[in-house]
Amino acid sequence: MNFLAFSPQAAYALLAGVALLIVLMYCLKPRPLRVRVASNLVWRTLATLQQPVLDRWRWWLSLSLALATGLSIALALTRPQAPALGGIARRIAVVLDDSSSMAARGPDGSSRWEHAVDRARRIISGAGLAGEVMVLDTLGRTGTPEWVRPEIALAKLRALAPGSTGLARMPLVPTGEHIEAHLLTDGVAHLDVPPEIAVESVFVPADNVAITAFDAKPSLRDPTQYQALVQVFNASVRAKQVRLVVTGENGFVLDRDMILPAGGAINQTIDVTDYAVGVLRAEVRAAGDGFGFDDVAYGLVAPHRTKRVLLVTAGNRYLERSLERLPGIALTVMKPAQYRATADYDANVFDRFAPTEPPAQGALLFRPPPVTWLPAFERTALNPVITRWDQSHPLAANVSWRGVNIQRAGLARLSARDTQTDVVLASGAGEGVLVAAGGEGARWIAAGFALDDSNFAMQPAFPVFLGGALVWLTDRAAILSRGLGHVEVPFADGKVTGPDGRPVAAVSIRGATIFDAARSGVFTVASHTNATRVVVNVIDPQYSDVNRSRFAGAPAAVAAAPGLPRFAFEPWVALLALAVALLAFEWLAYTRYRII
Amino acid sequence: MHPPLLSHDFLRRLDRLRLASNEPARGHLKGLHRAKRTGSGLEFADYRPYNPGDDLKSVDWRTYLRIERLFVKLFVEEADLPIYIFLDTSASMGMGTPSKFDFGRKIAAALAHVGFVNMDRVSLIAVAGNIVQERSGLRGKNQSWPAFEFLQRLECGGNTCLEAAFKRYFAVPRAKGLIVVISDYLDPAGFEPGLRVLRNLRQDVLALQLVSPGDFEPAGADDDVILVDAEDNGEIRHRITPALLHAHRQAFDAHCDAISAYCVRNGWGHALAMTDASVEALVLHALRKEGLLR
Repeated sequence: MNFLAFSPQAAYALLAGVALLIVLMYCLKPRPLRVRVASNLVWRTLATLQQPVLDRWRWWLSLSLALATGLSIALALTRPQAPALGGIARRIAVVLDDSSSMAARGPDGSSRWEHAVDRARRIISGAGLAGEVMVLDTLGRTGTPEWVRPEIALAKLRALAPGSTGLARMPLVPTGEHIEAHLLTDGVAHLDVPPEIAVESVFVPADNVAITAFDAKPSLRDPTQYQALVQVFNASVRAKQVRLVVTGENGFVLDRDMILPAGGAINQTIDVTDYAVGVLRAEVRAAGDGFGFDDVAYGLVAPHRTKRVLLVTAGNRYLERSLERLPGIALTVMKPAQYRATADYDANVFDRFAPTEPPAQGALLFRPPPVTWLPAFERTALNPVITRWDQSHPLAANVSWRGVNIQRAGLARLSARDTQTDVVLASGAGEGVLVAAGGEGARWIAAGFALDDSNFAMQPAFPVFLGGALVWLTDRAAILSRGLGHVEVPFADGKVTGPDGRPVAAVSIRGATIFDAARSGVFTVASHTNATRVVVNVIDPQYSDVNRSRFAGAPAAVAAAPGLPRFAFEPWVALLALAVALLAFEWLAYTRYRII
Repeated sequence: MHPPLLSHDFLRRLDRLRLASNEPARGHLKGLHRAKRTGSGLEFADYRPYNPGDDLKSVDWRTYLRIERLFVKLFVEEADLPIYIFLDTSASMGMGTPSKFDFGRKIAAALAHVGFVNMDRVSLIAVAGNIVQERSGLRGKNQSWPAFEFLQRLECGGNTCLEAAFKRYFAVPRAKGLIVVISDYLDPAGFEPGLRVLRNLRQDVLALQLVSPGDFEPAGADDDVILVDAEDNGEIRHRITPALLHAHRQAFDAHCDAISAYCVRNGWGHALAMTDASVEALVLHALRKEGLLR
């Protein structure tokens, strides 16, 4: 027998002590009161009325009542446990697998999570009223593990729900002789379960059709052509009739019907060139789909029309040929004397030339003469050494500057007022060889050297640089694709806006902006120099394969959950009530002489 | 200085009473009770023929003129009544509040005073296992205070043995009179042996039985008790229960009824006096109502 307030040895000792004390009190009963009477003459005649046997029985009855009363009170102090009253108090650790697959609904309409919660509730109820329960989850969202009363554990249970992000891990579960540990899982997540933990399966097969890949990209051959790639995956145990619907703004709709075999996937390429720019939303629809997290995916279509580029140069064959060969570029070449400010171009490239007024569109300048709107490349250095380049800057992406030799270059020293100007390439003590401004006005990129004074035009990365520079100048927002969860954007101090237009909390750590994407959609991150759009999707075949369970094919191991306690109180309450009843009986029967 | 046994007012009211006896007075002195013999009383009793030597003053001359024969008028002799007041002073009489002993000697004092007022010869005998003290032959109203003094000096103690006391007292010839026995009659030998002695002496007896509430139900007796006899210290263990108390009350009532029946059977007076009542009420009302006092 278990006792909550005493160890079993102490409890039994207490009971024995109380019983011994009561018996001793009865045996050591004080001598009868001596009462002086005038004469025993009449009393002696009543001796026959004395009934020693009855008196002996009364003595035993009284002793029994006293023992029952005393032992009831003493037993109540020990807080014993009885299965019929309040259940057996135990310490139970319940680990709930709250990974996303637990949200999958089976044919009965109930999700695995609902099965798990129901099972957990029964397990917790079996802990007894005085039991202690620790509720844990595999995504670590239950806070600090602690032993709590069953009702608090049930409240914690109600606050949990399957998560859509995060990696499921087996939490540290306390073990011990008097601790039961249960893991309720569907077996999809890979959990390292210690052997002392009882694993209970809540797996039920669920139908799921998912989008496991979705991206919109310009055609490599022709950047003016835009394509969306969609991969549809049928994770169900049977073939599914699926409809894929791609929608965009301004009524853009495309749909396709397909039949997917069980476990099969289909890749679809959809031409979305007609969709000029904006967010694409792809959705799969199938009857009986039991897992909705992965039914929708988002993509972003960037402007993909031909870029009109103006090259102003006195003559630079390398540059002209390189620009001409860039895909999606319509190049216009003119002499510096012919230059007039105009809005007919998407970008400008100035070779050894700079207009007196900044152009309305972005400009890439090589060895510009001094103008007011550009930082002055005051000092001319021969054979400057590139000592540092900003790898996080889009202009430096995919471009190696190690092999670039510069014979002569002007070096720019930025002043304090050039807050929106970044040094992309630095030489010496941080003087700029290549600087770029990404403020609210038109962007510009200025190189302090001419292509003739370096071998940069000979480098394989030169076309990449040119292409990247033109994209950076013409398209202010870059596009990133990420999964759910923590999203890291490679620039600091970014302000994040969610798909619904509301701000999202973000932190800047070590030059990066980090935020938590809890839902699919297109997020916008913008700082004073950078801006990017982050497409967040649930596109992971492993995520969507909700029937990939180690319990698949096996019947659910339904553990014999203990029944709910019959009474909502502990046995000590009943024992005290019994003691009170016995005292009342004693008072009624003896003190009031009812039994005599 | 003992407090007075009886108040002056009570004594004044006792002056109008006299003890009733079923038997003619056998006293030798002039008293107020009718004697069996004829004599010099005022109440006419009978005629008898004149014999020489009779006092001529007692000849009824009217009868002689009518029938010419001499008759002497006889008158009822008025004698005193010998009153023997036996007061039980055994230890059992000391029980109760007030004690039966105090109650008894007040009654004894009251009855003695009535006797004194009526010129009776009053003997006060304190008895326990035997005769403890006695004051015999007190007569006259002026004997009240010595009698009261005697009663006040008495103390209770010893065993009850009325038989021995009566036998001892009446071992010497005593004039027949009224024997008043004031006792609780809790004689270990029973009440009958003692009263049988009086019956054999053909005495007129007034049995006053004193009962205290504690005789019915011992005070402080609860559950398991040892009842200690006040006289012989004999012990008896009882578990006091309502049923036992009820049985005891019935047995005690039967005991009282037996005494009463014995007295009635012998033509004696009997009165049961509860000590929680007043002596005045007992004497002035209860005893008069029973015809024991007139």
